[in-house]
Amino acid sequence: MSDNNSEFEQKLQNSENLKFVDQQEAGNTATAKPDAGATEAAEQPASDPSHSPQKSHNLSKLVVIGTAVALLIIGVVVYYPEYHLSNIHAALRDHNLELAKSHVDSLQAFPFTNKAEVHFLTARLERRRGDYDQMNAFLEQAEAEGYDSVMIQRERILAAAQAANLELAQPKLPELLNDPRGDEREICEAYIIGFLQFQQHSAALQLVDAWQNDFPEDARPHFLQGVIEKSLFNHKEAEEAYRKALEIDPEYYQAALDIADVLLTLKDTERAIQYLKMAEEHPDFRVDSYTAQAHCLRMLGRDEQAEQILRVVISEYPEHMSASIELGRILVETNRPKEGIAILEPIIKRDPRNTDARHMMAMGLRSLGDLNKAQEHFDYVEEVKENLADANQIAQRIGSGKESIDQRLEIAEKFWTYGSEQEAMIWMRSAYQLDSLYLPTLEFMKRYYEVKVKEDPKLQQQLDRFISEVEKAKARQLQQSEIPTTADSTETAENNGSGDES
Amino acid sequence: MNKPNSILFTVLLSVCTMVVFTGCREEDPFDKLTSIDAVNESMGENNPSGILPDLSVTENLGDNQVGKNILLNEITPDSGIDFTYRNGREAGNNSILESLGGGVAILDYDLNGTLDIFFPGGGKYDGEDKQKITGLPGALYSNNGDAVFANVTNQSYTDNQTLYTHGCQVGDFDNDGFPDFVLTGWNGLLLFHNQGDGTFLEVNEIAGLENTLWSSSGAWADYNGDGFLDLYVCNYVNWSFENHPYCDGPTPTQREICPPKEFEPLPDNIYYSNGDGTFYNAREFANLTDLGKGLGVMSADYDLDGDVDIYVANDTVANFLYVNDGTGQFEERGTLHSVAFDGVGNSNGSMGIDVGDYNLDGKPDIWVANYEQEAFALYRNDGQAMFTYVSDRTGVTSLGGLFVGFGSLYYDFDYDGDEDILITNGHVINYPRSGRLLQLPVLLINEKNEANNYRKMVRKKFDDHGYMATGHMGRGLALGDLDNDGDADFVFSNNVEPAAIVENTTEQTGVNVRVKLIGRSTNRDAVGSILTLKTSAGDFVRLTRGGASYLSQSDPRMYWSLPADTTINSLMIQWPGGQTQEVLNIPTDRALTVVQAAD
Repeated sequence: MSDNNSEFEQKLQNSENLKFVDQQEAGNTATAKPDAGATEAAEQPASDPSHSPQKSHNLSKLVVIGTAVALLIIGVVVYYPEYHLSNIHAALRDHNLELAKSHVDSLQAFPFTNKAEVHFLTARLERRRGDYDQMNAFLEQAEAEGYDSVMIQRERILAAAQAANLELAQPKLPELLNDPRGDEREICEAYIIGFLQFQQHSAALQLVDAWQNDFPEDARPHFLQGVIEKSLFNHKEAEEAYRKALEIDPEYYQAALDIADVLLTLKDTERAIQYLKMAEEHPDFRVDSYTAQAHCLRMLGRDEQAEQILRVVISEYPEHMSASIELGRILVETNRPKEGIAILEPIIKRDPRNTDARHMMAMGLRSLGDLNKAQEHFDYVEEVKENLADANQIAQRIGSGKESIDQRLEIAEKFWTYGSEQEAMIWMRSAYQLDSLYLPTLEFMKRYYEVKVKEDPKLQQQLDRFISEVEKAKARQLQQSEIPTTADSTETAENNGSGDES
Repeated sequence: MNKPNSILFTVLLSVCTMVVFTGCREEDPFDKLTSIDAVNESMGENNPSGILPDLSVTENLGDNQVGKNILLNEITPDSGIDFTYRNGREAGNNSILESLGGGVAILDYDLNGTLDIFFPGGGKYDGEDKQKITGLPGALYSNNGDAVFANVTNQSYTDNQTLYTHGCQVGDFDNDGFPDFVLTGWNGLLLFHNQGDGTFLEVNEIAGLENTLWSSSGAWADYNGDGFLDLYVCNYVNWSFENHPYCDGPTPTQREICPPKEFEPLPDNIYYSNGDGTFYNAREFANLTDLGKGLGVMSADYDLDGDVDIYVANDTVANFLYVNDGTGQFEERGTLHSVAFDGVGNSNGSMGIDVGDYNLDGKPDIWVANYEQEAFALYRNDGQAMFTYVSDRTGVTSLGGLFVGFGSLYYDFDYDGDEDILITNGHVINYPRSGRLLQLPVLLINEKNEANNYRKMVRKKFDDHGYMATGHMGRGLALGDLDNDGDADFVFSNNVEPAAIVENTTEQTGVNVRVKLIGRSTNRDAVGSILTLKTSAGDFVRLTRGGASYLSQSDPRMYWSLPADTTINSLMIQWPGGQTQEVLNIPTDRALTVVQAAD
């Protein structure tokens, strides 16, 4: 068992900084430090009766007050952690990671609590947020505080599943489900995310089904079913699943937004608006809801109303990309290209790969007669769309074995060059999981960190690591070419006994 | 605490509380939105908070208040036409070849003044393994004069069955006054020369149309201005039984027809006339690109500069706009001119096309029927053939994404002077995920909002159980005045479903104008002309074009239907090459034929 533990540790440490961020859930909350709160133990104001103006009162009164204060302190010490713990569990269950984070922070700062459990829950939160380095750090602290080592190991398995390290995690699934220890939802969700990254939709749907059967009142599996069906282009099924989530939990506004997205794909603007109106109810979703409603209004030819909404959104959130692009589009399309370009230019500066912004920029420039610049933008948009379409096409056919590594890297390259960095990371990571010694993968990762370290110098350690890994891989290749053998990198890894599969 | 103090404390507490709950409250910026005129009312009117929208609403069937007087009545059983395009699907090959279907051509082949109809026949698979691709004969129907037809296929020698056929394009390639036609199909073309005696002779080989690729549509036009029709041929993808992958359906045992993305594009060809009834392939001279998966093509003068340009609708890849420099050399400018993609730069599965002037600004606007979940595209011409995608703001997008659109036509159904759009639809695969296999035709009525001058395309709802209110496997669509009553009637060709003749029985509350052009110094069909009908209600422009719709050919005459109180002043014709000619005294009770004036 301890060997297994170290394997998981090794595995997860290998994956330092390879973050999978659940796009829909992850907030912008600052990352918790493992030692946060340790030096900030709450200093309770001492209750010193000698400073009371009533010090001349008799002893019995002091006893009563002292008892009351003591009871209050005991109450706080007992109730306060319990309150936060139950809220952490609820927030994790509801996927409100920001709320969970605030409760975790409160508990980390509170001295009289079961630190092992707090560290464990913090680790779980960090896993859910996709920060596996933090997760590992907190799991180590939980272990040091004496937390159940089996639970810690299980959490690492869930991390592996969530990070799509299915070779490692998949065999453990039956064991976890047979003895879920109250973590059924966590298990299902982590594996579903992993399955989805490997395009294993039917496996993901099976888990969703089991989850729905065991917890009929839980909206989350229906929401995830919607996500899966949507990714399979099964729009009707996706809509039905999201609806079910909304029926169970009418405040599941993300489901409402997602249905609207499905309906907009189907060009069913009228019904999309109705769902967007629901999402408008919640402060967290209002901006996105209004922006999408403006999009719908434009689709319905109601430019003026759309523009009014977008101007309000942008006045409050000048950085809101979608709202700015939508407004830029309306301005360009209603013969105000200069105004439109003024809105779109900063967007393109911030995100040069934003095809929507560049498409409208091209239209605006064309209206002003700058055909050459317009053509540049049009060409870029075409190039991006073609490459992303290729990437998606490859992804739809990809296998799950090692023979798919090159294709995974090809997809990662396309996303890295043209699309979402997050998608690129998912594919790069999946290639790495399949063979952590494969030179092209390591070279890709080295290139990635060479770029990223410029934004975040803390990633230098990762870059150094992959520089070293690339050198080692090259040395292995050289060694192999000198020894007449047909062994591939996987076999070499196995012979060396240093691969993830060892 | 004494009483005054306690009162003071209470007052202070109240004040503080008020400050906290009012003065310090952060203002919600979105409260402003509630004051925006009618946003909430109009957007939420059908949805009381907390009630989920109706799941059963899957298709917006349209508005029965628009085009109330329009009547389209199927007359197929009484017309003498009994024709079904066959694609060989019974062999179970599930090939993409079967998905294209066939078109229809309306022509007056015997010049007797009534419009006749030709249907390409399609094909089948022969051999033990059912993989030998062969053709089925098409059918030529001769109009007796009142939309009753006789099958004259055999006596006209148009029963050739050497080619698995799709499209039919009519053009008088030898300028002898009798319409000829070309058939497109799998790995070949057939060119039928009208011998003027009611018979045709297949002359493809002699003529030099050596296209051996899988052709879909074609467009006749005089691209190089030498006075003879040339032919643009769209080729599709490199499918054959040597390249016939298995594509999964919903379950592993259900084989699906593979999508075009599984195959490589084939280069289009353009054949320039030698002036003697033969052609040469001028694709290099014309600067054609190699990257299309062409399904629809339409030649017209989009930039109104006197020469003929070409618009190609490609399946899943960028559409082309070839701008002619006047010599028959082109520059492909689809992207820059914004007709290559939809409004966000995505390529669509484009099939059916037509050109008209939906906003009556005198500039030709392009219509494109696309695949499901892609809105149909309406590209507004802003001048010099620079277009803007206006599907959103014209309400076209509101149709929903359920349709797989094919044959398309501009025509003014409701006598208000602006052109409406008719589209025939039908699916191409065996197991659609969202749309239906059999789909309703769609008639979009062009409505002008006088308040803001916006134009909306509103789907007309057909309440009867006629052709327009039932699902079909639609493909080809052509128009022509089959019964010579002044308005246009319609022929729908369907995939493995009987073709339909739909008579326009709308009460003729306005003025009908029909004009046929005969070129003299230009090609006789006068493809590439611009006709402007000058009236008391404004100017109404029509373009003669080659190709258009999908695999089909409409009557080459131009049609107008105008409000009853309209006074027609004149017809201004700009012939290909730029010569202009004004015609006065335009008749409304019969078709007008205008012969090009001598230079």
